[in-house]
Amino acid sequence: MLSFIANWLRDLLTAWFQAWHVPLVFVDILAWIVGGVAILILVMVVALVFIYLERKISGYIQSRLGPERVGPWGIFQTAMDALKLLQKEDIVPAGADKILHTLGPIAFFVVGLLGYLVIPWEEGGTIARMVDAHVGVLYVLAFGSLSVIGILMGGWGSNNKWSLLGALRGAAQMISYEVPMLLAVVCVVLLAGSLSLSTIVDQQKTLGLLSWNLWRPWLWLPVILYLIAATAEVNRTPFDLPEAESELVAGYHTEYSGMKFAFFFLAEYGNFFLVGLIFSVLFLGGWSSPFGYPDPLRIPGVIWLLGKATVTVFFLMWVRWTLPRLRVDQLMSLCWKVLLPVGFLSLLIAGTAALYV
Amino acid sequence: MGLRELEDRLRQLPGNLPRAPEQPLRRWAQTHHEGGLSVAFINVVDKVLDTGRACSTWGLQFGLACCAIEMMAVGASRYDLDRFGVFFRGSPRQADAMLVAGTLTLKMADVLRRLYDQMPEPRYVIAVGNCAISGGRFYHHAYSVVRGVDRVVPVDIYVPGCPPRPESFIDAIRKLHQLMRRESIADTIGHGERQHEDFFRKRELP
Amino acid sequence: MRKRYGDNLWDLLRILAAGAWSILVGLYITGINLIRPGVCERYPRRDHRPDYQPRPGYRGDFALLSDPERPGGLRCIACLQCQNICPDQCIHITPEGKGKDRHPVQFRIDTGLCQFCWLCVEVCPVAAITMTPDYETATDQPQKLIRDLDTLRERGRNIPEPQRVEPVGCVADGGA
Repeated sequence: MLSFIANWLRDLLTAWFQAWHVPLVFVDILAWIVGGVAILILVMVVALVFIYLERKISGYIQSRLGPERVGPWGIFQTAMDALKLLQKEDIVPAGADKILHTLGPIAFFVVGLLGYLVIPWEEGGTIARMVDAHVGVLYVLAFGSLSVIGILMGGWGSNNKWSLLGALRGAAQMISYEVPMLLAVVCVVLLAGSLSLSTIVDQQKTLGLLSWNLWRPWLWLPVILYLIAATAEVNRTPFDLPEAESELVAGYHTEYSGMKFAFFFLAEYGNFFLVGLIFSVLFLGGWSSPFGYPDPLRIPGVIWLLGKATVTVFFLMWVRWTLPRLRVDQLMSLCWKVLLPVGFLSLLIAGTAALYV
Repeated sequence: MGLRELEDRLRQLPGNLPRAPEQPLRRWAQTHHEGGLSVAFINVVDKVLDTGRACSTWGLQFGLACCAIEMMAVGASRYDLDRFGVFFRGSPRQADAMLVAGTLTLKMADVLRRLYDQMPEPRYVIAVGNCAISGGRFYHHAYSVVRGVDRVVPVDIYVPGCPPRPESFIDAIRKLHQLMRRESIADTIGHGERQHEDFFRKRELP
Repeated sequence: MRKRYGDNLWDLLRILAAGAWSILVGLYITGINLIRPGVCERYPRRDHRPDYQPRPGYRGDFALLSDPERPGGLRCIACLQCQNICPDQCIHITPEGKGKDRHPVQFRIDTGLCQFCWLCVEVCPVAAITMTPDYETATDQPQKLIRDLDTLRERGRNIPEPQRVEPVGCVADGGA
């Protein structure tokens, strides 16, 4: 359905621009702008919905109710949070590096948005043909690495030793956990034979539910590995030491107030949803329906993908409110001493399976 | 600064900080007699902004003594503060309301003032428990207690009780919301300096 | 290292399996709590206990009990016992009259100073003062926390008897 809309718009714009004798390159530029705005809106809506869901789910797990006064069942809570954060005074601490302090949240937010460009939302490639999807996996991992810069800028630019400590711990955690995540993703790539995310989904769409990568036993280790490593990538409990409240006040976003804090907050949930999306694409079959390839229910693939990502995110939130936080040395030793050998083992298994199965 | 200097400084403060005389809240339409679109616009903007501020008050946990246990109880499952959108942030930079729950000692008064100064505007203070209102049971005979949090920061809502019930807490938050909803951006025009603005806020509960 | 990772591969696998099992048990517990109804009383509405009252003897705000036959309309004889015994000196009474006609013309209690110790209720010889189960008393001005005679009289109008919790007695008398 998305490609239908995109193609229709493109044809319409081409016809108009030809009628008005405007150079046709502007159609592409307009398509890029529309695609970018669509992603921005999607990420904002996703962050809004998931912050609300997190508060509700955490409330129900703790035998209480989450927000419930702000709208029916409290659905306008996050919008009110954003409205309040807009009104707050914008404080830059004395002695802080003003440029870094301002750019930190912006960098974090923008990099979080960029990961959404290569995900196959529908059959026929990414939206508006913006990014060449042949190296989708590489692109996503690269932008996962870039989000470390936003955290480091936030921590250094706050002129606060606790922020700096939190930022350094966060950076160490994020760059360390990229390695097991990479190994888990490479296992899937070995089996699919291509770095392109669309091809990975295309190989899981034939039989619906039965052909998902989740059910292949030689991929079970990568599944667990990816879930653990990606949770650590986005600083979620049990790995949320850099931003934990009782540990380092609030870590790298201690000194941020108002809209800058809102950027960190929204970007964190945007990243979290991206993790869910990549998990759905790699292991749960992406936009394909569980009922078979030409979807008998005729539901657009976007809905299936968002639904699967939501289930993954719900599962990770459930894990968040179950497990206690890991200390930083336990965290690092888990990564390098446990997950890395397990990653190599899973690579061995997946490689063998790719050759002989 | 040393304890002695702090005591000298605190001894020089008056009993309660100067409060503005009780005036009804000045709405834009009362000061400017032309009505019409500008008034309606400001009223709509006020309503939206005040609702945003009230529906999502993030509290700075400042539990000092026994009233902190009641603050924990009100955040827990039975009386849930998250229903009102209030959840506790550790950092003063991200908090709207400071819930001072418990006895303020002289050593802590410096810290309290510093954290209050670090909160961004618009900010509110709720003094919970009799020790925070007036020194409470320690008013006579205690050498280390500040007789009331309002000697150090300007307070918006006082919650009496020793300690107050969790329902009193929720009642106080609702009264704070009433206070917030009566504010207007018209009152902030002309206030340049941050430190004096707090002392002359014109507010009143019905 | 040996203690954490075990002696050999079999031990390591057992340790990992025990860890994974504990995570699954934790997920089960939180999952069950997700589905069960919560214990939250929605306070202003109180869905779980709509006619909730604090237990008798709860120490909330103050009230002076009324006695229509006496001058002043209150049981209080202005004996100043509560004023003398209050550890925070938050009661201030101005008495008037002599003998049986003695009554207070000004009775101020500062609830912002009180520690709710119940001593004034215990010591009153005529059971004139009590504490009501009224806890919604937050205000924005500390002056509004001072209760004066009219407020206390209003509050005590419908109370027939004070909420007395009888003192148990001191150890020397054989009490608890």
